[in-house]
Amino acid sequence: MTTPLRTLPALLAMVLLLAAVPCAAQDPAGVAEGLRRALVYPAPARLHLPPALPALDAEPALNQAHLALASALADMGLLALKPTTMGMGLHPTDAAYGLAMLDMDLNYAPRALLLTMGEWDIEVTSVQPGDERITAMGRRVLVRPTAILEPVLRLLPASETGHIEARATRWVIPLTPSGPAYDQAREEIPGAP
Amino acid sequence: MSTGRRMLRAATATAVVLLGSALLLAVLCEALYLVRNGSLYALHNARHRAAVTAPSADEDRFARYREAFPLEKRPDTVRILAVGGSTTFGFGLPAKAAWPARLAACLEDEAPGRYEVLNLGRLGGHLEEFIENFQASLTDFIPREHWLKAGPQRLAQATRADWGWKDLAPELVLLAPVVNDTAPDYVSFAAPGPLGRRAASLSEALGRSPLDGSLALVHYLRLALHGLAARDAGTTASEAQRLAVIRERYARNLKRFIGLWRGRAEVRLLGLPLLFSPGDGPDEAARAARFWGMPEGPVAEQAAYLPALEQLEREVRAETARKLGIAHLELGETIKARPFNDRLRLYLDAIHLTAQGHDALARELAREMLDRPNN
Repeated sequence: MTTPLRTLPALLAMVLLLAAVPCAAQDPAGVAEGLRRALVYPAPARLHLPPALPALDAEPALNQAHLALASALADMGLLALKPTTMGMGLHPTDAAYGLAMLDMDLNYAPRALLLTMGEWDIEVTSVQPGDERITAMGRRVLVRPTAILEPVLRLLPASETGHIEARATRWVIPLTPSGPAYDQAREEIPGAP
Repeated sequence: MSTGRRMLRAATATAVVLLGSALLLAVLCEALYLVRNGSLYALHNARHRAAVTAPSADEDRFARYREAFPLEKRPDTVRILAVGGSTTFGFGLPAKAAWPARLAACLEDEAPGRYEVLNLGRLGGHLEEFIENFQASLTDFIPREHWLKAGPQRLAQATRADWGWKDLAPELVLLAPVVNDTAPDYVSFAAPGPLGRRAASLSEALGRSPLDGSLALVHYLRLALHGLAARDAGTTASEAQRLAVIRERYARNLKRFIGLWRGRAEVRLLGLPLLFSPGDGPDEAARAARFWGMPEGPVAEQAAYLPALEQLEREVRAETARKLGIAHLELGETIKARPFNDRLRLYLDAIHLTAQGHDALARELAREMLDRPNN
């Protein structure tokens, strides 16, 4: 038979757990950690460039800026520029691992050149608990910038690089009986592509 | 004149006419090739022996091999060929980070100077191309879709070296045919009819003859046969029929390629892990696309069909290895067992591993090879 004394530790543990869940849910550092695990942060911060220049659907000024960036990256030994019938194909060199990569389709036709400018990470500054969800406010920031970031910021127009700046971000995290469901969190970054 | 003599004369005359026609046709083909390409066919091919080099920085590297390698083997070494597609080539990685180079480094640590690993991984490389490469290496990259649909164009595009993978005289072939034999077929499905299949196999037989690579006549004959095969293709099919055709084609080509090495080298069949598993769905695809900074659409499509194709490939590899009595190893089981977010960090995209992932595969393979040298 179960005696009241025997159930006491279990009751205490349950009380502590119930108290700890809201506390952890209100701690910005704890919430940030949960979001990092669930939303896979830090993540590569990437910029897309057309794989061949000039791009037919782009403004001449933007094509010029992309070409200037491609030339700068070629000077850094990160890209090989190969003449094509229409212009110039951009090919990452071996030295570009972790910095530049082609996104290809199944026929190895390049869809985009992905440039890694650093890593996205998050900072949670405040947490608003609710009955059914937690709302966390903070920023998405670029950390550990790579050598590519400087020429990107120098040579591309602000319309292309604006999203790289730290952006105010909001996360909505559903609350379940076992705690915040970080894997169902919704991230809202106004103005980010 | 007796009937027997008349028949003999008629047969001789027919043979002379046929031989003369063949010779005339051969000369005409050479002339046509000369006019179109500025060189006789055999000479044109012979120029490519020098092409066993890595591409220079200003070239794209679709057509060639990952690193320079000598045709001649060093004495007293075990030569290993790593054969596969972009997952063996090391797409997105420096050459030294791809699993064949990492395997070479692991083996060198254990037995200095004993092993030599050549990376024959080709972007988009697939078994039908590997079968061609056995006799005379193709120096151009031909996407699988073109391979299936545009026979004449692709062979017309292809330049062939006067050496083939057979000339590398390896002791061991590590064959890792992943994705390229199934995914493009799945996306752009075309099922050949009986005539197409016969034309394709006749072309393959010609490709194995010593005349291939020497005579423009054989080159053009194969173009015609591929044209025939391409025209007898393109039926619509249900998902199950489509997978059945892909399975049959994958199994047939695996068997053919492995058969080419019989009596020449041991072949071990490898599987390399893809990111998405059967339990993964749109949520995982969206997370992956966001992580890589890629558009969600293509990633979601891959998440939907790649797990089924990976499973199909694994089953076919296991069955083929069992039937042919060769070693088979599916690498990266520990990677596949990780939670999705941990796995994701080891991939550059849905198919290609990071340097860390390649290193893990190479260590696993080296352990297996050193523990069981004559599996």
